[in-house]
Formats: sequence, structure tokens, C-alpha cells
Amino acid sequence: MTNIFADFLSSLSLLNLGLAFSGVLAGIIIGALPGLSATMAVAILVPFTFALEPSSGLIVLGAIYTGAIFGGSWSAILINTPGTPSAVATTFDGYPMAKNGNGDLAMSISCMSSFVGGTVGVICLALFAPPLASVSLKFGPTEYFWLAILGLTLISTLAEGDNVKSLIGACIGLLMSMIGVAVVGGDIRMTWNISFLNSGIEIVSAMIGLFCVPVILDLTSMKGKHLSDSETPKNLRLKESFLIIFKKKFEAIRGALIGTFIGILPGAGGSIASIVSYGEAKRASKNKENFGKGEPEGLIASETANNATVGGGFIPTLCLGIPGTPPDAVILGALLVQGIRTGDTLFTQQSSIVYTFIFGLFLATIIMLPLGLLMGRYAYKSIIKIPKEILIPIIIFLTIIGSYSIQNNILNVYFMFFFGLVGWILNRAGFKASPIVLGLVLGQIAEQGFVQAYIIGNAQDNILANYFARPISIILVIFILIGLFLPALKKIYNRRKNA
Amino acid sequence: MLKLIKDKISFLSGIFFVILSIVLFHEASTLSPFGAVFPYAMTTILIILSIILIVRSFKTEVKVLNQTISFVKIPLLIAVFFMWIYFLERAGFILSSLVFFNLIVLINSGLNLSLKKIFIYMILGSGFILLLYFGFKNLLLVPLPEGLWFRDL
Repeated sequence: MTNIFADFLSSLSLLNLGLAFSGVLAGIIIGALPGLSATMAVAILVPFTFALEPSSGLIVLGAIYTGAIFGGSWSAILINTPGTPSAVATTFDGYPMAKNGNGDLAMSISCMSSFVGGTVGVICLALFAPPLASVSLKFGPTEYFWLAILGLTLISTLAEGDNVKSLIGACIGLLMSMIGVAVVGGDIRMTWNISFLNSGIEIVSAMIGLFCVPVILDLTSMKGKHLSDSETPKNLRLKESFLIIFKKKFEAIRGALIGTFIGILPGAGGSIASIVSYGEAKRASKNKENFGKGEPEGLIASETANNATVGGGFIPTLCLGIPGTPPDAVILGALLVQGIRTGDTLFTQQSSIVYTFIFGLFLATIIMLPLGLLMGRYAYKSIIKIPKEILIPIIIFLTIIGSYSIQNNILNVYFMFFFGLVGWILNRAGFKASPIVLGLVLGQIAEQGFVQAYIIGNAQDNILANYFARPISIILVIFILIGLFLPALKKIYNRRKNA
Repeated sequence: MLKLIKDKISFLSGIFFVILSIVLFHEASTLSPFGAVFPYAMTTILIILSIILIVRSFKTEVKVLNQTISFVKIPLLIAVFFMWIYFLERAGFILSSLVFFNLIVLINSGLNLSLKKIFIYMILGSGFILLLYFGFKNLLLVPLPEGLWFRDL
């Protein structure tokens, strides 16, 4: 106990405080720019941390990661473009809130929710890391497949618009994820002899195109202002935001726990976590009909979950040496370079570094709150004040720079442009971008799980049992069926009731 | 036949996705069993969903986005956007961005803004481009295309 207190004090050193502050600041800015991901932010700064003490180096990496995941919500709220894939669900209610003149409220709620999510994730990491890590080992290929399908069916049934078209969009995303080398078998598929397609479609450039370009083209056609500011008072709307979160405290904690749990599962990540949390919030809410139209509860669900994956993702990373998310993989590399060996002995033999890191992560989450609120307020005010005539070329400029900087490859920019035009046409035909993007993000997880489960089932001579008879799979399949058929059954029930 | 269709957009989309699925299903037949199993599964589901969409289009019309399209500005914007990308590596990031950024300001301003305002927007935009260029190059260490004229910057 005395040692843990000493680690806590060590995390509060001036150097560590400064590093956590700079890390969160850099993370928020990078996360808010579409195309610059949390993984990229962490990877760029890894070499700089080698000159620091291991715990200080880890604190700065954790702070960048925390800031970047939160920063992703800004562009989701302000320009309907998730800065990171984990902010896809934030667009559902965040952008409508901004359009209705409540962008400042959305920014404050997003920051406070991210704080709640981040805090719950870190507490779970500090208190329950070793037992929770063992849960992730219970997830085999079949469970990963069903988890990915759960995410896709939820987004398809929850996103505003037509469910059938959303499911078609999810299938299109899954088919797009198959372009290039197959994850199992190594076949080169659907490349039509274009060598650049061998490495598959770059998710971030497709995401930027599918979300950003339709916004640009619609803004060009739109008459009048891009965001309403008629009801915006000149404050942070802190009290209002706090009261909303306080009123929805159980929902916020539920979102954070969902995020932590999904964060523990290696590879699942913030995108599934926020969608599942959003789905659960909508299912349980009394204001179901307001979801997708600017309901703060939807924003709380998405933002608590994606920031909770930060702490959750570190559980398998530190206890099992299996990174929960791509930024965790980069941080794991930094840990190994620093001579820290992950595993169940880490919390006993090198506890000082681990607990200083955990406290540092908590510190970063605390710093994120005032910093995010202040910066968010100015970001929102700036976006409102920028005239549409200059905002459109700025967004175009960011889409180009964002998609180019992923691999320093002009072909990614052409892809972004192409997907953007396709996304705009599909959008006008009623197909939303979010199911397509999530299909693309989850495609490889789904395919790997599906094919591996098929191979295992084939070897055991019982393919169907391998898909449908495992305990966790059964639960996931039930949730999928509920997600798919409950809206239709409710419609039939209401129609009969009214008749 | 066409008069029976209540939702023409859904009908046409459904037909398009059925054709696409059949093409991809056929493409999957050339792959190894492991590489083909998932494409088969997904294209089959896509065919089923597309048929549902087609059948439904005869029964009900689902309202979609009802926003007007500017038939002058949008084609112009798409053309300039494409040219910006095309010239990005050839003319360099700074030159292409300065030219096309300001062209887009002009397209969006139309005849609604005064020359003074357009000029201010162009100056602000150019400053923003230069700021981000040096930020990306020197802080984030992301090399952006320099073109022939700005190699020494």
C-alpha cells in the first residue's frame, strides 16, 4: 500500500504533469483531424519517449492516446466526420445536436462523458486487470465473428434511415474489406489487376471520403448557415451538461463498463464498443424516438464507451502481452524496448512502473476534462464563425492532407475522392455511410473469425455446433436476433394495437 | 411495369447490388476454399437483401434525403477537387493548395460576396495552408509533396 502511494506521488512529479498535459493537448489536436489517428499520434512520439524514464515515457503515450480518442469526437460533432473510427457513433447524435444549435452542449457532454469513460476504464485497469484479462482468453474465433456481426447489425438497425439499406451498406463494407490479400488463405481477391489494391483499401482514407465528401457537397448546395447558433449562450453550458450527465449517471457508467469490457477483447476496439453501447442505450431509453436526432443520451453512450476502451485495452496488453487496440500494440512495443516484460508477474515484479503508468493515465483523463472543455468551446465557436465559403475549402484541404499523410501516397487521396463521390451518391439513394465504414473496419475481424471457426468446426466434424453451441456465441446470437427483429416486431405489434 | 414501382431509387439500387453480388460471387469461384468462403457468404446475404429491397420497392416508398442539388456549383467543385488532387504531386502541395483552395473560395462565394471579403478569405486561407504545411513537415514529420518549386522550403 505504501509502495502504491509512493507510485502515486511519483506520477504527480512536475515532469510527469507537464508530459501528461502536453500529451493530452497533442492527442486532442491530432485526434480531431480526420486522417490522423491515435495510433499514428502514439507511433510518432514513441522514439521521443526512449530518452525518458520508462514510467514517464508511458505516461506521455497514454496521455496522447486518451486525448486522441476524445479528440475524435470534435470533428464528429462539428463536421459529421469522425476523427477516429471509434467516434462513428458520435456522429449519430453529436452532429444533429450541432445542427440544432446545441454544438457547445454536445462538446461539453462529449468531454464529460469521455472523462467518465476514461476514469471507469482506468479504475478497472488498476483494480481488476489480472482477473479481467483471463476473460479475453475465453473469446475464440467464433465469438469474435459474432461480436463483429453484432456491431454491424446494431449499427444497421440503430442508424437513422432504412434498416434494409443499412444492412446492405454493412455488406458492402464487408465486401470492400475483402479487397486485397485474404486474412486466411492468402488469396489475392477483387483487385482486378490493380497492384495498389493488393494491400487492401486503406480504412481511414475510405472513412474520410465516405463521411467528409458528402458533407462538403451538401454544404455547397445548402443555402444559409452551416450550423445554427441562434440559441447559443456565451458560456460553456457546464451546469446543463453536468446535470444531463448526472441525470444519466447509470447510463454513463453502463456505457463505460461496456467500453471497458469490449476494450479488453484484443482487436475489437472503440468502434464496436461505442456502437454496442449506443445500441444498448437506445434499447433501454425512454426517448428512443429522439436517438439520431440530437439526443444527448446517445452521445453519452458513445463517448463513455470509446474512452473506456483506453483503460480496458491496457488490461490484456499489460497482463497477457496481447494488445487490445492498435495504439496498445505500439505502446506494447515501447514497453518491450524499455525492458518491461508483460505478463501476470508485471503487477508484482515491476509494479512501480505499472502503477505510476496507471496513475499517469488517470492524471491524463483528469487533465483532459478542463482542457477539452475549454478547447472544445473555442473549436465550436470558431467553426460557427467561419463563413461557409471558407469552411468548405478548409474541409477539402483537411481531407486531402489527412488521406495523403496516412501512407504518404497520392493513391489514398484518389481513393478518398472516389469513395466520397460513391458515398454521396449512395447517401442520396438512402444508404448511410456509417454501416459501410463499420463493415470495412470490422471486415477482417469478422472474416478471420468466420473462416477459423469454419476450419475448427470442419476438423471437429460439426461446423454448426462450433458457430451456434458455444455459451458466449449463444448470448451474442440472441443479441443479434433481438437487434435484427425487435424493431420489426414492435412495428407489427403497434400496428395491431392501433388497428 | 415502371408504373408499378413505387420506390424507383430502391428498385434501381436493388438491381445494381444484385448484379454486383453475382459478379463478386463469380469472382470468388476462382479462389481457394478458405479465401472464397466469406465472399460467398456475404454475396449471398447481399443478394437476399437486394431482392428484399426490390420486392419492397413495389409496395412502399421510403423517403430519402430531400435536399436540393446545385447543378452548377457541385460539378464545378468536383472538377476543382479532382484537379487539386491531380496537381498535388506535380505542382507541389503549396502551389496546388494555394491555387485550388482559392478557386473553391470563388466557386462558393459566387456573386454574393464583395471583392474585399473574397480577398480577405483568400489571404486567411493561404495563411492556413502555409501554417499546416510547416506544422505537418516540421512538427508531425509528415513529408508533403514539394513539387518542383518549393524543394528548399
